[in-house]
Amino acid sequence: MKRRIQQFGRSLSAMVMPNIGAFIAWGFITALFIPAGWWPDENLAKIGEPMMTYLLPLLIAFTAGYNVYEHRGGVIGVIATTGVIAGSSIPMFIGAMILGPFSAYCIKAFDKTIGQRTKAGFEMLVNNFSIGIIGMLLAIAGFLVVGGMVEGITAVLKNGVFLLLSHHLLPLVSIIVEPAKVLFLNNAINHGICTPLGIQDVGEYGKSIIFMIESNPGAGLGLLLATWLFGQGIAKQSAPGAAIIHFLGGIHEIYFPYVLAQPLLLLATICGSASALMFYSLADAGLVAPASPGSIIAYLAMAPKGQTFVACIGVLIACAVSFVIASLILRFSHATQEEEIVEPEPVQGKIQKIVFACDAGMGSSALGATRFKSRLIKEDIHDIVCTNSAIDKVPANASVVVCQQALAQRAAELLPDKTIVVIDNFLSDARLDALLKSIKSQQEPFPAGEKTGDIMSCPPPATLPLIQKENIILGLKAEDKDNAIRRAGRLLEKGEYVSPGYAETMIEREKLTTTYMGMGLAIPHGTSEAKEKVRASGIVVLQYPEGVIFEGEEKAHLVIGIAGVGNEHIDILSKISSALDDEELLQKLFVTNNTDDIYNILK
Amino acid sequence: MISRTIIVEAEHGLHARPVSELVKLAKTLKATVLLSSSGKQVKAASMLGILSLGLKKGTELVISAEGDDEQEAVDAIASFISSIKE
Repeated sequence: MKRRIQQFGRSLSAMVMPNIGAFIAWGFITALFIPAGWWPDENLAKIGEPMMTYLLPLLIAFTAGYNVYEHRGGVIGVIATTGVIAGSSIPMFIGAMILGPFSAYCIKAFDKTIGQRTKAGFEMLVNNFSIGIIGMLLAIAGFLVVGGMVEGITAVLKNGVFLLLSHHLLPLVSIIVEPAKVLFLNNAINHGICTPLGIQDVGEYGKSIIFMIESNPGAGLGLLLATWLFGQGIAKQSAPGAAIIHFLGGIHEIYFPYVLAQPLLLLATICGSASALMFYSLADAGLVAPASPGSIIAYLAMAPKGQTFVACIGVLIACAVSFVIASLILRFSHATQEEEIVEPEPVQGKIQKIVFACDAGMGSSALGATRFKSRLIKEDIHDIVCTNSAIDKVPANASVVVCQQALAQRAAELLPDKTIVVIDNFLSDARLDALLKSIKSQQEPFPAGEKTGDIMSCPPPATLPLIQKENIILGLKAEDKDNAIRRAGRLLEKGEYVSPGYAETMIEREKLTTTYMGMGLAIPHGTSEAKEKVRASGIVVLQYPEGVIFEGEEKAHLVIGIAGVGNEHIDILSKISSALDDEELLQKLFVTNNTDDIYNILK
Repeated sequence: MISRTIIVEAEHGLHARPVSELVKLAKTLKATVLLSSSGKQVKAASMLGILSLGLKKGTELVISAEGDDEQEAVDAIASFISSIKE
């Protein structure tokens, strides 16, 4: 259950955070050019609205859809979200976050059911029209439904706020207002309740605490400072810039994506604002007019004469409380994520091949693989293969599979015996850093031991030939079966066809059923579980003129050690069998002094 | 002479282990059993022979037997191969 919540949280973050740059761009434009901005410019200010209404929600919708079903998912996500945007008077971030993934799932399901039945040649047509038609339907549905939903929810919130205010439960108003802000539902609350009531107060007392409910920049600042210190990745790096836009520019909207990406942070802003309001209640404070935009400058400017200090204290309280709570939340989630990072490290055997997997095997995984490969090269690691594939076509010899958390479940089902690294972002993710670290530590030379010897010194060539002359050993003195098999295994390990430990599995396999084939030939190989240790297909040949006893009286004169990648195993067996299905030939090979005799037959 | 055709259903094809068991089985039979696939014919009692056929999942295989209890022989071999799942 906890995993699910974490995964959900990560997917929210994954749809919002990559687009923070766009939010910041919008934030700057608004802070600079709106009439109350730092450098008012009516003309340039026009850029702001289409950004907030269309650009930002659509970016989120595309990213969300993409995370589910790559480009196709992204496209239908934005189509559907446009419907919702058209039908609503407030910026539809929540609409994007819901419809983006939802529409992607729709088209994904459609593709699955129809995909098989499409007549050849019609795929392109069906592909495009399916998105077109389903997208249109979703857009229409969104359009019709959203307007009513927004009104309904707003009405509920308005009543809630009114109720609390009339019962003098002012600080509790934050519980409604803070979430409403983040969902852009606060304007209706302001216009509908806060402003009229506030103006009434001002008429009577010359100031109103109600104007302080929404515009206190302290809570948002506390949140952003906490993110800057304790957040991760993009959020952490962009937080300072956002803090400036928020606190000095008064554009509170800039902190909304941080909350949307991790909704738990609402606790921070709610408590921060509520604490400030409690203080203001006790101090009988208020503002003479709404502070718009909600920057610290405007806020303090709206304080009645002599009460600027009081207003300031309230901001500090909100900031401090929000900061503390947000820090706790961020550190807590950071800690639980860290635990997970530690897990994937113990990979059995040496990491040889990393496969980045995504749904289609084309877009994000290729990007991830290329990126990681260049990171490896920067660390001077050249012998690890870094490639990408579709999640259901991951090659059998992959050491590690990297995929996004959306696919984690499926990966675990399809590849139960593989180490899977789950990440949020193919381009930069703490778990990829951890993987890089464990690869680096593996690059250190193994202590020279009986089994591994000098295996690790040189990187394997790009493609290994099935048989090499140096792997054909002639004239060996008779020894017992296990030693002979182990010798063959070591030769395979030395030739880098397999990773260390394969030799032992060959002995295990021999215990299951003998690999003696008759006619003086034995073909020891590893167990099926050992397939992961096979890096490349290959064979080694040991010649025992005196023979090694395998079965009862039967002696093997040629012991051929085999390593087969995936299903190539059968082909190798077939090849060897065909080549050696000749008794006279075999007799010759059992005693020959010439490596070429054996090499030429088997190559 | 009796013949029967089957399709190999074993997930990993007929690799060394099942083949060695098949050979053991073939040796107990009185009739001479032959296996052919993709134009090549081998004795069922020869491990080398069977392996050289390279029988993977989905390959068509013709089992033929000649001699005493040839029908039982073909049936036994056919049902053994069909029982290999792994």
